Amino acid sequence: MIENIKTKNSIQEAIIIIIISIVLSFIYNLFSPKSIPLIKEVDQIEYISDQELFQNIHYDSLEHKSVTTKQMLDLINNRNAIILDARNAEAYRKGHIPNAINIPFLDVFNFVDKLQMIPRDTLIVVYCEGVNCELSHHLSEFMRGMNFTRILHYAGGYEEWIKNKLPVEKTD
Amino acid sequence: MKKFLFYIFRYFIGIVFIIAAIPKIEDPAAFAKSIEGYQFLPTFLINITALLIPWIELLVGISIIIGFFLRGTSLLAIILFSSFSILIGISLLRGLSIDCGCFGNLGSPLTYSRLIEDLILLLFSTYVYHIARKSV
Repeated sequence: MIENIKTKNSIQEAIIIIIISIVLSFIYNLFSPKSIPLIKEVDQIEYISDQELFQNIHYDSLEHKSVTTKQMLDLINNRNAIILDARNAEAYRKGHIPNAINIPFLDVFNFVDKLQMIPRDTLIVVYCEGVNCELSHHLSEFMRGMNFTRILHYAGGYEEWIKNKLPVEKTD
Repeated sequence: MKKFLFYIFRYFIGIVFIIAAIPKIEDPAAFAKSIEGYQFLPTFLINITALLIPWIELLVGISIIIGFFLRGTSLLAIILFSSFSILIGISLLRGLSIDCGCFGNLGSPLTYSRLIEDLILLLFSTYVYHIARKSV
């Protein structure tokens, strides 16, 4: 009986803390300079057109644009672009898009030398796990800071590549 | 000894929660992105979770140190650490290569050591809850 009351009190106390947290978080979010909408909107992926892709275009028009899986295949087959895999080394070892180079964003400072060797106007496509991962976006931001001018995303990432049953490379 | 551990664990959990909460409260958008990386919540719940979790962490952190609502806060600590452990465990098994988001800051990859840390904190919280229930 006493144990039941203690459990009930514990739950009541926990609920009170949660209610206070709800109130404080909502009030803070109203006045915070970094407030976010309560309901997240679904990110729209903006794909680049074939015409745009194979022209010499620069940073401003490319920002946040993505290539489709078909365009990705063309780029790999024709070796028109350098493909960067932003996931960690283990994920890359288990399987990656053919010819992709691993630049794990979470360890990016150890890979700066490798990035320095790439000419700044090379067409680069970055990818990570899938639509929801952010590593490729962070990597492309980082590389823009290094004055790379032609960076695209492969928004579907490794997941979409696998889904399309396309060949993968593994490293031991 | 029991009392000593009770206090040490409380302060430890409290400090961890406060340190984890502040950067997430400051930059909820970054935390929302970390949550999104785990691919377990529907899109419409991501921002609400990103706003709410850090405040629960902060309040639990402060309350567990000052001894306010100790049973409730230690129970919440158990719930939080269990949820984090399960989530991290599943994500590691799925082979997700993502940012942990544990302390809000970018650049801490999700690893098995994070899971072990959470499980240790879960153990501490369970101890605090057990003593708090007895003594109050």
